[in-house]
Amino acid sequence: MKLLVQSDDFGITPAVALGIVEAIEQGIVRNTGLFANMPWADTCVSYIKQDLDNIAFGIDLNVSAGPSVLSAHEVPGLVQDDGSFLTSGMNRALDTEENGYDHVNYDEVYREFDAQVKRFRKIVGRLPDYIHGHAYGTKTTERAMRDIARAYRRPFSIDALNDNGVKNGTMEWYRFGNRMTDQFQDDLKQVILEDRCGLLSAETGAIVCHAGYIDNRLFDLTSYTVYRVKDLAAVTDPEVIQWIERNEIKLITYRDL
Amino acid sequence: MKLLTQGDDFGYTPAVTYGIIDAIDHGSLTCTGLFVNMPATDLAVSYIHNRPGACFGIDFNIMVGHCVGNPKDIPHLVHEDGTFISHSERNEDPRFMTSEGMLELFPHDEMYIEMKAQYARFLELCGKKPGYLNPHALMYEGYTQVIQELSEEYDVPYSLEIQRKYDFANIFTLKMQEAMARPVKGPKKEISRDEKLLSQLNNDPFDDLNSYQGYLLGHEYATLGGHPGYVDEALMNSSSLSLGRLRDQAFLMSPKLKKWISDNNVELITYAYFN
Repeated sequence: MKLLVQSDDFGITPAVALGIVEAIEQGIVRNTGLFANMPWADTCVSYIKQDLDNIAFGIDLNVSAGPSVLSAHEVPGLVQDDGSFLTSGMNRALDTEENGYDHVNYDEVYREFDAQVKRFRKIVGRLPDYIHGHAYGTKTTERAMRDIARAYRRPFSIDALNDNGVKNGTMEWYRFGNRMTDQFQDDLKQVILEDRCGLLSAETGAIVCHAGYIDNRLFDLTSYTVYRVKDLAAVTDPEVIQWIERNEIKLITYRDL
Repeated sequence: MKLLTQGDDFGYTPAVTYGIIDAIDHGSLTCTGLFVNMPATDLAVSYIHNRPGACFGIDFNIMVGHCVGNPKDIPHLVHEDGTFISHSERNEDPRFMTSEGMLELFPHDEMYIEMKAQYARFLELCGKKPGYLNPHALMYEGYTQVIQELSEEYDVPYSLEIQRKYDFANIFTLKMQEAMARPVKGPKKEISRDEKLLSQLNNDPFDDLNSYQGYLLGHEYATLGGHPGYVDEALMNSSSLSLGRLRDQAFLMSPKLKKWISDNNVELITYAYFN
């Protein structure tokens, strides 16, 4: 069978980017998406340049971590006073029954996403291989992402997987909660080896994980910290690599769908 | 004031290695000591040759990973398979607490054999002498004595000897002396892994810099540093000092430290300054 292994958040911090490079060069990850809005985005792209031919390098469109690409006065509803996005928590606090749990302004989101894609193109020298969303998402952000995907004729991750009948992993290895001790229990390795998601019986399966090293900045941007080093260990584990070979699984990218 | 910035454990794991390199390339770190016996050693060595301004020493490691010499020559230091008896294993041994016990656990000749082998490995890997010799983890004068001997034998500076000789201001040593002068409080309560990790994150090296600024600037020479690094699973499984490395890394890479250095007319030096 064919397996699409994706590791999100490339460039959320440099250490996460370095960890994903290890996950690609020494592990089974073949798809990752760039946070084009981060100040270190171009440094992170330099880490992965030599691997670009072997992977799908997409974009993780995001309105909840780091600074906006557009200036604050262009997207006032999306940012805090210092120009960084409202966090996922702050965004969700603004979602109420009244606004259908979807407070963001489509126009601001679309224009910011568009600016992120353009920044991606400027840094990488070509368009992203796929469009994907990060963390905070609502019907509006999803609609904007679909429209971006259509405008740039790029696959939108969710639709690409659904339209091709890909069986997606359950992400159950994150079921433990967000405290650090909880995250040590991340059992992605066992989930794969025991085929708990039933991927072997599908023609094409997918695993979406969050590999990476941890650095100082990560704690300010996300609750997924220890999960990342555990995911990285799982996707580079010799037993997992053997499992892939033994089951004659072909590792694919969004470009193969 | 002349400042020597030192980050230990280069090559411990990939993540630690990348954190140190970033602190050298984008921050104020000038000296780092290589572990020659770890899986990430080759990765670390690949960064050495095109960083001529940085000073790469050797962190003699007889506590983690596999020995470099023949295990049969150093039976007190390693298990049968050649892996070092770890710090946590040593902590379980009552002999670890007494000087007679330490003599038994760490025979001079065995340490000498292994550390010479590690020095030779450094030469082989890096094609040049280490910029300095440095201890790792073990605070035992029998062990540092071997480093002193090798320093004389190979004519390579021993870090702590340089710092002693030139009366370096060193916040870590000062704080340890202050701690030893305080009365002991009583048995420590059991704390959870989460709390241990979180307490490492609570440490901010800038607090020390601010508190001890006068002490540092009042000396001709000073050292700052610690154990910078990013974190991966191998590190978390191997070392109790894991998340704390992120704070050291961020500190050494920070624009704030760069500014402190330039605002106070501090000159950055390495051990090469003393050659």
